[in-house]
Amino acid sequence: MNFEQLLSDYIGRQIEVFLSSNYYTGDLLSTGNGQFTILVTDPSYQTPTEQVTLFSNQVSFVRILAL
Amino acid sequence: MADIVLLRCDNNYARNAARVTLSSSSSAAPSILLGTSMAAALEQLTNAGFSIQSGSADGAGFSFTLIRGEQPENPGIIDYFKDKIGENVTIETLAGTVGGTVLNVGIDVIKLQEPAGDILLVRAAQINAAYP
Repeated sequence: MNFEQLLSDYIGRQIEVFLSSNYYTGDLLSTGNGQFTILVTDPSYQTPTEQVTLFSNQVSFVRILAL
Repeated sequence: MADIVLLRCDNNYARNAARVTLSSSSSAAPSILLGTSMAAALEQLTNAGFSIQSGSADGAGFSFTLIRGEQPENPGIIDYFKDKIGENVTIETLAGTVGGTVLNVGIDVIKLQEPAGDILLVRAAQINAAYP
């Protein structure tokens, strides 16, 4: 099982995504091949759009917040 | 799921060749005709995306295991964490240090549970170090 397959178990959940130089938080909308999309719940000037597609290769880790 | 082919090629000294005498493969793998030369069979499989996982030789011929599909990019990291399932670890990544109990290990990811109950998916390629 790869990263996106494990992540797909948490579609709809609130997640935090940590990259080496950036951070996003939002609701996980979908996962795909080498990428996943979140609905950003705390937009900043770096993430002006609400829906952000992140590329898995650049991600260090994802935290899925407990319900 | 990975595709697997087991290949046995026996020497034919009269023809100065080694030919496939046994081929066993998972359902999605191409079938190799018995009698195909060893080189041609390996070429066919490598062109189909297989790589040789192991090979050995004996007095009668050669045996190969070929695999295509999901294989860890960082097998050392993956093997390390497979031995730590159920244990607490601290992991240094490019984005910071995290820790928790190892729940599961995928081909490119480690799944942890933090003490607060949150789940972490840590990409193996981004791990710098780990310690208990």
